Amino acid sequence: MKKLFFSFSLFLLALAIHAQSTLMEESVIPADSARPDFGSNGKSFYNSFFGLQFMVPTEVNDKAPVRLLSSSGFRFGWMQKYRISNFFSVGYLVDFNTYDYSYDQTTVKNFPDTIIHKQQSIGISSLDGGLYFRFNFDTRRGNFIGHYLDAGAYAGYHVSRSLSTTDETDFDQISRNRISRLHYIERYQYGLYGAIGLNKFTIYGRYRLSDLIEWPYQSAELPRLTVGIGFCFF
Amino acid sequence: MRFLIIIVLLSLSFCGVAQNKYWVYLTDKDTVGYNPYSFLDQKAIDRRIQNDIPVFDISDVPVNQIYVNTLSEMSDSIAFASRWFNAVCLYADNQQINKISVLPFVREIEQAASGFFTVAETDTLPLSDDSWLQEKQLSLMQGELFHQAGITGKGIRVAIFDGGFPNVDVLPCFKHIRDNNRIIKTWDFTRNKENVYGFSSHGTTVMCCIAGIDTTGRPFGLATDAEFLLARTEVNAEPFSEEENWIAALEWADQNGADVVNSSLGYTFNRYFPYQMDGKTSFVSRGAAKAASKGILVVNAAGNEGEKENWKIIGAPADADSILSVGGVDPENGIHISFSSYGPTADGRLNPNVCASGKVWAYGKKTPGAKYGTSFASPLTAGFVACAMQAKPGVKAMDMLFEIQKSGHLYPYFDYAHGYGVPQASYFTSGLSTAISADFKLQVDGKTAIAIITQKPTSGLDYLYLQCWNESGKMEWYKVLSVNEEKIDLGVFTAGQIIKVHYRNQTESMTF
Repeated sequence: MKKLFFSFSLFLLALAIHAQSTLMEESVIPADSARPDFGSNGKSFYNSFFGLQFMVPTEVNDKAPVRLLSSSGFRFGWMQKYRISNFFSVGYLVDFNTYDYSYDQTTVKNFPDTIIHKQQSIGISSLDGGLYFRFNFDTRRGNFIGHYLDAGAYAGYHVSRSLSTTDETDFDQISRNRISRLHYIERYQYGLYGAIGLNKFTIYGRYRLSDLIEWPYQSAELPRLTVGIGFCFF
Repeated sequence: MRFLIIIVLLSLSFCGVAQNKYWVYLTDKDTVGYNPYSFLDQKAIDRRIQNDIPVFDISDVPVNQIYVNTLSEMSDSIAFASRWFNAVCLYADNQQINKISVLPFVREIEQAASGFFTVAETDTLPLSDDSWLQEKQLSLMQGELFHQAGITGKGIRVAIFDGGFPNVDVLPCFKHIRDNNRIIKTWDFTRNKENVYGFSSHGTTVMCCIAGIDTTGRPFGLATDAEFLLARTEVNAEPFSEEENWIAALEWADQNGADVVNSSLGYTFNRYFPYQMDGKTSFVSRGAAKAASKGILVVNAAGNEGEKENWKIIGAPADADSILSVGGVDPENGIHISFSSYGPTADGRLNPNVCASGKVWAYGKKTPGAKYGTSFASPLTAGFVACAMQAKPGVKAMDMLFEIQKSGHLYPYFDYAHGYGVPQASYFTSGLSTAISADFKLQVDGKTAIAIITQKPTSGLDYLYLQCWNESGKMEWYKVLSVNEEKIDLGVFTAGQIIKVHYRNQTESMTF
């Protein structure tokens, strides 16, 4: 009985505690009265980003036939910009890129080798830095990235350079081989960078000015143009 | 090299997309041949007389056609010539605008741009009882009192600006309007055509919330006998919006005798910073203020940004001084609905002014359904305003705005979520002030304040509203508390703080 009475008292107490409740509560924050220094259209702004990119062969090279859509990679990094005017900003970016150049297996190819594999690709991972100018096309926009065009340059160090092959054996087995630290791939690359974007989405491109393939295989130079679609995180 | 070509092509295409649009302000007007009595609708003249506004006003004189023709020849195209601002909105490239800038009749050039406008979400809610919502959206405003008094917005001309009005010409809920030829004029400002009965169904829902009647005779809105001017000013439901269309529609509505304008437009973060929501920066806000100076009561949705951390403020033109900005409440509990934008304006003015149901039952393109958004709180209020104008004929538009605020169920208390609360028809039908009552007492025990409730809540909507101001006269916070006890602990306060408490019909304040 005592236990029941005690439980009932607790129940009543709980009811009393919940008798008055706050249905709505708002603080009036006066921060809206000034333009913020940081922000999409502030004095400075930074964001991280992620991209999916494709290497685009711009010349036909039967001896080293890089495939169009199968040659792809990822990109992620961090970029900062400084607003000079509503129209113009300057910025820098640091990013990590992967490039996987996939080769068509034809009888006429002679690079990376003359053997017909099930799959064959050269993989490069690169740590890059770049500088860019940003041109915004939204006049009188708010704290909003808007439509923009980026143009700049980049340079990168190759942290990995490898050749991967996949073959099917006579016994219906799959054989995979990977050769790292390829001696005929340059350690550095540099080039031009450009992007067009709307807010968090961007279409970007890179045009490599430097060669990737060293002597004596220059004729097998890898595609210089990379295009991708990106997404910004904040 | 190819990459450079690509970049150049892309930038050129970008420049093409971001067409340069400018407002070119002119130095003077040609008044020769202007006759306000032939230019303005008789109702527009009556409104000017009622509001003590001169019938002949230089701002009403159309833009000098010679100037317009000259600018037309020197630019790509003319979008709109505003008589109120004596300005021409045109498209031009840099070379053209440089030549235009040195013309002797050009006073100033301002770059115009597109932005996003906000409209309410229009998803159908899983409601089983639509009749409840249809009744509630009006009963929150005591709409039945207007109905009983035979006040239905008769003789009041309401202009609606929206993205389209599909099936307004065929839907049964507007039959009573069509049968009596009360759609006075229509104009599609995006295509310069008369037909507006297509495109976004948002406008159909808005009109239904002002004047629709269902097949059983029950109203969706209060101003079922009002007259209408329908203007299509937006291209899609949530598109890039052109400010000049909105201004053009305002001038058109003025010329055609609108007493009330309902608009559910709101420019926010895409175009502006919060600090620019001061009623002076955006072009539409300046246009709205100009409309008010012509004796038009502009009713505008506060916006649906209440849940956005990066935009905790109303949008433009709801920030304009002298227009009625409307927030949304949940019809189930009468408290701020989560998406409704919060005030105050950037310069600290009260906003929203009043609120109404942010969930409605109204017609879309074909059938009725539940819709939500301050876009629909606004037309409910516009319908209320039309009824109030009928109930109190001869009241100037600005005075009517104050009257609408006074009719708010919280008045004289206000906060930045509800404004003065939901307008109450009893204020206009019985003329009673609801501000004097003895429903609670404030007690202070040291730094603690307690509200002693002397009148128990009689409805589920009797809440205790509490707000705290600092010494410098800025509101710090506000709350809504349920009333389930006789003593309500209001909290602990510091010296200099001022609290204001509202319960039922009583508002008290206390300084610590």
